Amino acid sequence: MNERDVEKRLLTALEHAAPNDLEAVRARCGSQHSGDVVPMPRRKQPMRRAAPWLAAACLLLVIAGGVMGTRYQKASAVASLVSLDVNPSVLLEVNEAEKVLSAQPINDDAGNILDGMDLTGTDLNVAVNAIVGSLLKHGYVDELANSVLVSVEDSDAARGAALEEKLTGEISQVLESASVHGAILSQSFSSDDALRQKAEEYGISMGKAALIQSLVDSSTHLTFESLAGLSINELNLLVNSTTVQDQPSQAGETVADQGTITSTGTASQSGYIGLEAAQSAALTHAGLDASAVTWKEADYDYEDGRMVYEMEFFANGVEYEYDVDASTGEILKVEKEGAEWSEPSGGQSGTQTGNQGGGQSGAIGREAARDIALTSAGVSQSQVYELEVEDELDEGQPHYKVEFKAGGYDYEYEIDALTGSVLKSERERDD
Amino acid sequence: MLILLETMAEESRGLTAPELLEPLLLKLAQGDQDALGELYHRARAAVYGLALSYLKHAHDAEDVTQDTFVRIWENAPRYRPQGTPLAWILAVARNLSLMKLRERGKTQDMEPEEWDRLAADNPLVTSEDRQVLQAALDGLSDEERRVVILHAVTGWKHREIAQLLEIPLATVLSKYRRALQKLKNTLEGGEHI
Repeated sequence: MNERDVEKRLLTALEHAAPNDLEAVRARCGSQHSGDVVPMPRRKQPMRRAAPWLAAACLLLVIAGGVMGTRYQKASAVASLVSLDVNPSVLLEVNEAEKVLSAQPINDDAGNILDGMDLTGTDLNVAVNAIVGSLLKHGYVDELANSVLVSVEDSDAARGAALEEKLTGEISQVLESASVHGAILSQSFSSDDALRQKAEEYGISMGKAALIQSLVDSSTHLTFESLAGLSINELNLLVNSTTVQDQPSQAGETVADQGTITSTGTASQSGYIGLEAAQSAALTHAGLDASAVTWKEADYDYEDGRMVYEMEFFANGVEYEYDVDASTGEILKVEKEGAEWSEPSGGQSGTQTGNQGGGQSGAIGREAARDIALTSAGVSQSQVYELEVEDELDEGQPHYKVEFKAGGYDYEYEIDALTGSVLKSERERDD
Repeated sequence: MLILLETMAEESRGLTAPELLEPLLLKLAQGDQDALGELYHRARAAVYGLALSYLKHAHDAEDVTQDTFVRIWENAPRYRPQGTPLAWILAVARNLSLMKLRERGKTQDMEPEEWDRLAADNPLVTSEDRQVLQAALDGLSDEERRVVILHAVTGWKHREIAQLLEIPLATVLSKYRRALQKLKNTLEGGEHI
């Protein structure tokens, strides 16, 4: 038997098995539709090539949907849209019974993931298992990039949240069984036209768009455009970073802490030099010893198209800000604010201020005033930041005004310029 | 081998050639019931084959075949000659098949007794037919089955098959080769009888 015989046999069998009941068809053939135009639904995905027959078929489907739709409405109605993102992005349309109505690749990589899998009609958890299994098999999830984003778009917030939790558990189990220490980001949200427009513009899933939007909303320096090309693992590092937010309501708060995104596990950092190495690079550059430094912030951020470690620290009254390339350790940005103790008062770059050098005859000087204030407050120089010493020597009682922060408090002192006595001291919680 | 297969494709194409189907569709648009009869005769195996390749269920595939011709009749006035009448017809069949799949929630495979009933209900279906159909439905992946059945019933080029099924041409080529080889092995090995 050759291949032609095989195909011939198949054709013959189909010709024999095909129904031959023209009368039944004729009995159902009533009036024909006129040529009025039925609007085409807008496709979610850009069509690679809109063949004329496909357009015609879509038109028919619209009509057929009207006739047959009510009967199938329940089973075929999309209740939730579930997207799974790593780099490959897959969108699943799911009905109320959590059956998959369709599985669509959002990008080219997802085509490989779905290749050969017919998920239509399967239970959602089975489909998610299969997709995550395929992601593992194709090497998209490993110790180098272990983050998976699962997003549920549902008009019913409670149902969406329940589905989100269930799928997170499901994915977690699959990753565990493959001995991969996965990190899962999950979120549920309702439909949002503005977000959908952005997702379409950048060719990404609604889920990834929602994640990026959360980051952009919490920061003034991150843009949607700059983040659209990042992997979920990179976005996961940013979502869990304490330095991304420009104005966190609490120190050390991350975007994930805000509650719209749930983060499980730790995103892989294997592709980067590590925070300690970055800190060390910054201190070496600043010529500082680790023991003299008080760290304010040190975590991932995204600047000028690169993943960076953003660091802020204080030493000897100077506030330092460094950006270090997270992949290479290259120092990308250095900012210093405040003058070092050893510098002359009224220093060149800092916020330490004064009038004409503060040289009134008999005055104790700024450094002595500073030392008196610090001693009075019971703090050491290395603990202090945002220090300002101002001369108030033209006042009725000449004094130095010393302000600084340390240990979560704002301090304000007035030190008598002639005697060094403490004229005033205030301490309040630094909010 | 390629020449033989091309000849085979020519035979398939002959039954559903555009120059034959297009005038029929135009007549259908004018309400010609005879044209409907001829169209049904020429395209029913292709429509049924495609539906079966999606649904893996003879009864559902029969329903979709009937539904397809009813839709074609109803919407023939909208057809604009593009030189691809069978593609238009099969796109309708494909969409109705997908709707049927959604309606029923999951793929129902044919049980062995259903094949027996198919044979009993339809005297045209021989045991040889049952064997090759069962081999196609049981032994092939979904894409392999769709590609090989579509090629058998339409005689289309692989590029045209890729367009209808919305899969890459390379996938069609590899699935087609693999499917034919699997079917050949199964039929020669006498499995799935």
